[in-house]
Amino acid sequence: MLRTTMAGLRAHKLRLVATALAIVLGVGFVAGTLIFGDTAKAALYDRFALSARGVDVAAGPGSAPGSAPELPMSTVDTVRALPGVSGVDGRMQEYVPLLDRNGRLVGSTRYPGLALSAGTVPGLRPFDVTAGRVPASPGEAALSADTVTRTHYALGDTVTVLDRQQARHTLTLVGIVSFGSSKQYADQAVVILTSGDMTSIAGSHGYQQVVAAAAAGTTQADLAARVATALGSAARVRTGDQYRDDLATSAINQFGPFLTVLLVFAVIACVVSAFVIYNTFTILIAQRIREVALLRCVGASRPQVFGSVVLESAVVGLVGAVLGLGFGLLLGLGLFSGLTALGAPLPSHALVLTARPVLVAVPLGVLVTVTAALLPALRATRVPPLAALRVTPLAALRGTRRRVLLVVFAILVGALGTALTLSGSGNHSDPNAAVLLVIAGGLVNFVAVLLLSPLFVGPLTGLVGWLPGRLFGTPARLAVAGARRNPGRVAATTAALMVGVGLMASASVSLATIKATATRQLNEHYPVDYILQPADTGNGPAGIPTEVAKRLRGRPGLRDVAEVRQYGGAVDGTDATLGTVDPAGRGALLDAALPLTAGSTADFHAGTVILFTGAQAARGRHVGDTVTVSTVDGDTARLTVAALASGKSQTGDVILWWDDFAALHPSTRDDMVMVRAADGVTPADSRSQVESVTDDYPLVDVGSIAEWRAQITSQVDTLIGVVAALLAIAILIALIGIMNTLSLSVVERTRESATIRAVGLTRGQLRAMLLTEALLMGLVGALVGVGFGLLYGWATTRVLFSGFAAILTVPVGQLLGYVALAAVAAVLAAVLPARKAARASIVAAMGET
Amino acid sequence: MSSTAIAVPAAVRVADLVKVYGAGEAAVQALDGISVGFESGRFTAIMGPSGSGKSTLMHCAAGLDTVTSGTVVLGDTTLTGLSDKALTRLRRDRVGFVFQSFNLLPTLTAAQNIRLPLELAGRRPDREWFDHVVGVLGLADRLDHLPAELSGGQQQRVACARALLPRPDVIFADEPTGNLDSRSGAGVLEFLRRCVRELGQTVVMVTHDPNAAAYADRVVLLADGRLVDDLTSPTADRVLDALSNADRGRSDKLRGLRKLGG
Repeated sequence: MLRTTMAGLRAHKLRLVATALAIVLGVGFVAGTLIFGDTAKAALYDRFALSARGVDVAAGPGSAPGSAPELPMSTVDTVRALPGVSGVDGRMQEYVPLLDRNGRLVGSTRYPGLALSAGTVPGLRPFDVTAGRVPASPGEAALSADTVTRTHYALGDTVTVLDRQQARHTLTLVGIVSFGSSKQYADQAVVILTSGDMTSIAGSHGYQQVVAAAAAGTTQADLAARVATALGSAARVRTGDQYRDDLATSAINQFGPFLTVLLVFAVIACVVSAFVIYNTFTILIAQRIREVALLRCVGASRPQVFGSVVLESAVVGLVGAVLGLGFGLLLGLGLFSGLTALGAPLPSHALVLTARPVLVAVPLGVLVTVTAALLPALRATRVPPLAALRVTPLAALRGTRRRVLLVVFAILVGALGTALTLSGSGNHSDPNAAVLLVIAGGLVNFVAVLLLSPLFVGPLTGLVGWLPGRLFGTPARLAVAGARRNPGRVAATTAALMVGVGLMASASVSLATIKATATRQLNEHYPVDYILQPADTGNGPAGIPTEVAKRLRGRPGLRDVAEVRQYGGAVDGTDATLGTVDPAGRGALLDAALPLTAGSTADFHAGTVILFTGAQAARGRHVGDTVTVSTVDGDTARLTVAALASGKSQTGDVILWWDDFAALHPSTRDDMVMVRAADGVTPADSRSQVESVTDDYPLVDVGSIAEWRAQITSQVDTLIGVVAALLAIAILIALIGIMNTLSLSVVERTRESATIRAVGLTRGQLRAMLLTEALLMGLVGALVGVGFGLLYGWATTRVLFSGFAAILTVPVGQLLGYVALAAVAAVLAAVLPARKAARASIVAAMGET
Repeated sequence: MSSTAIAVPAAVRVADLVKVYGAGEAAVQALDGISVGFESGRFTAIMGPSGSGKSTLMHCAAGLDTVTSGTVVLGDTTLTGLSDKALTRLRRDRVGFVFQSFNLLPTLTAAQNIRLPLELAGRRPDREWFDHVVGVLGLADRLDHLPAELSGGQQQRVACARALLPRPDVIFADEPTGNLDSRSGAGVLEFLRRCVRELGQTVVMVTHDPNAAAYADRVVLLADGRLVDDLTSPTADRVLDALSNADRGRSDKLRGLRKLGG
């Protein structure tokens, strides 16, 4: 039997190539993701080589509640006194904004500059000196090579940094340092200071880390134990090896979500492959009925027939999986260099192939293939020996009993899916769980659609084929008949496409809805042109000096200036951000454009609040309710709800009256300043007006709403692009499926094609007929996918945005584009089979049975 | 070779037709310089033992296959040298086919199968003519059935209607009774004869069955790619005789070859 199987495989080599290709792509995706993960990990591991260089023991502040955020200055001496220590150094790290030659902040306000202590033990420094020397006396500084490149500072120059009070300090540049291949500080300006300046300028009062080197004869573990005992529970002590491991692990974790998403898409690709394989084997078996029956006639048992088909699939799966591993290597390389090119903080590294991708991907490929071939194999065992003697019967009509069973089963599955979806949609308390429920419901319902698809693809094909039939006459009508002939097969073929296009459509609808909703939120909640925010210096929000707003109010060309203050707190115990707007700016920000759902801003005065329904704290509140508003410091006030507004606001979840807020949390700085330009002032003019004030405050970030909107749009567009690229593999596999199905049915219909050619169909018309058939399959798959994606994209987004008035946005152009793309691709997939069919000699083809 | 005086013009003529399959060592000469004409309005049967080239002759005469050398003239059109497109159009408009295994499209109903060649040509079938053909063949109540729902005889009658509907210059029938029981076969043959007698159709039929050949007005006999006999108004017995003569000739030739070899 083994020999028969192998001979069969050799004979059907070409037909199985396409099957193997589906596996290659699916397995390749999985392997590529794993290989990328391993490589990224190895690269990140290397990246910390300098941080952990020479370090045998690393002590950091303990994580127990109540422990100080830094190690006290005395720690270095305590450690130095221990036996077995050959060197010890304390590392300080603080946020210190660095200004460029023009007095502007280097980098963005989201990544302010970083100051590191120069250290006293050269062997324990986390950097190399590439030019000059490390700062030795106060007033000296070194910069990282990246920072020098960006600022064009040269040795001997004077550089300016800001302290916590935003006062300027000038330092002399004495050295340039490098962090090796690490991109840890890639986006930040890094200044190296003496420990004295770290304290006096950067305000450091302790060590972020104390590192020690062990003397000869002392192991890392021994020394770590000694340090731990000496420092007690205030410190977290690790060996150098552990430290490096932990650094790499925490770094790889930032890629975790990305890897998860990749794996999800990889699994989708495998599922789609399974459809293609199932379909191919079903057709192969159908075509080989006589062959199988002959085997049965000459004495093959049912298990032998079953085993033969399963073995065949296993061999195909194995070959595909091994090739897929190779594809995975390429994909891993592509992902790695692609992400690096896009600016991901990944150091360059050679590709790493561990055993894991091999152990996962290869068995996965075999498993997927064999599983997909099980049903066709089982069907092969039902072929009676007598079938060998019959003239090949046309596809037998399916029993109605089976069909009824199928429908009942599909309805049950659909009911389950709908119940899941509805329970998700109705669940407002936990958006995450709700979204998961809706997605699960969608998947289950999709299975129901797939089960039912043999029943509806026929009529749908007829419907879709009506226009081509009208336009192109008989060949197109023959194509419709061809596509409708075997609904089960067409359903299985298009199912793969449905999955890919469905997910793509669903993602597009979600993202378009998010984009539209976010844009509207921006417009509603920010009836302003500019938002000024303090730079995050890493030391807590610094706030904006009130002079900024005062000076802005004096500028011509700016109509409204509103000061916003915020503080953490709670409403009746539920966490909420408390916000307020100063009296002068209140009218512009609140009265004009709040999307009120209840109450009126006219009722907003001292002793009242406005709640945003998008926040958890507003649930179940009504106008007139009295709520207890508390700050994180424990101050409380009893206030009445004056109005409810929809959505969420950057101002806060709860808007308090200015004086009420001041009573709860007195502050001398603003957390945000919003500016609206006067009518008729150009954006360039208003921007220069704003910047004429903010240039004196390097730590104030000026955001333009127009830029934000553009940013959201470009982010959403990028996401759509990424999702489309990831799903492209699934769609590619689906197209291989179409090609496969079509080439197999071309073989099946050799004689039939010859007949139509004999009675008057030209070669061109025969080609057109087969291409039209592929077009119809592509259209049907894409249409069902888009329909389903539309429904669930909307359902998911609605739940995601519960509390917001989400605007269902159907990206019609995009969706039509997907359908057109699928159709065109399906036609392309059919070019080769169609050519083969058209080339066949009529007489020779007529002779085949 | 006996030659019959041709009273009526030929619908199809082949002259010095040679057909070689394959090349070099494996080359097989299926037709060896054959010349024959099929008269308009007559029912001609082509007979011969297996491998005599009778099917090849029909395929070449019908424009289904290319020839190695020689000419094929259908009416006033020379087929040899025509493009595939022109040949297809010619088959569609001027030639009808009936095959041994019916060769109906399984996805089309009987009526759709019958109308297929006309629809491919973009012509509207003449309603009266369609009803007449369907009536004569007794298919009126079967028109909406798919081929799978028809008996073999019914399927072959649908194929006959398909061939006849465009009023072709000639209908080629390739072993039309090969897959039928004798009663259904007789029905189909009877119909073909009626087409010739009553409607003036030209029919050329390939068969190896002397009883089927007896329905024809004329039988041409092939052996080894050559014309070996030509009978007018044949009966089954005369056909059988002619066949066994041809066979004897063949075995003589084989003996001769053996002598040469030994």
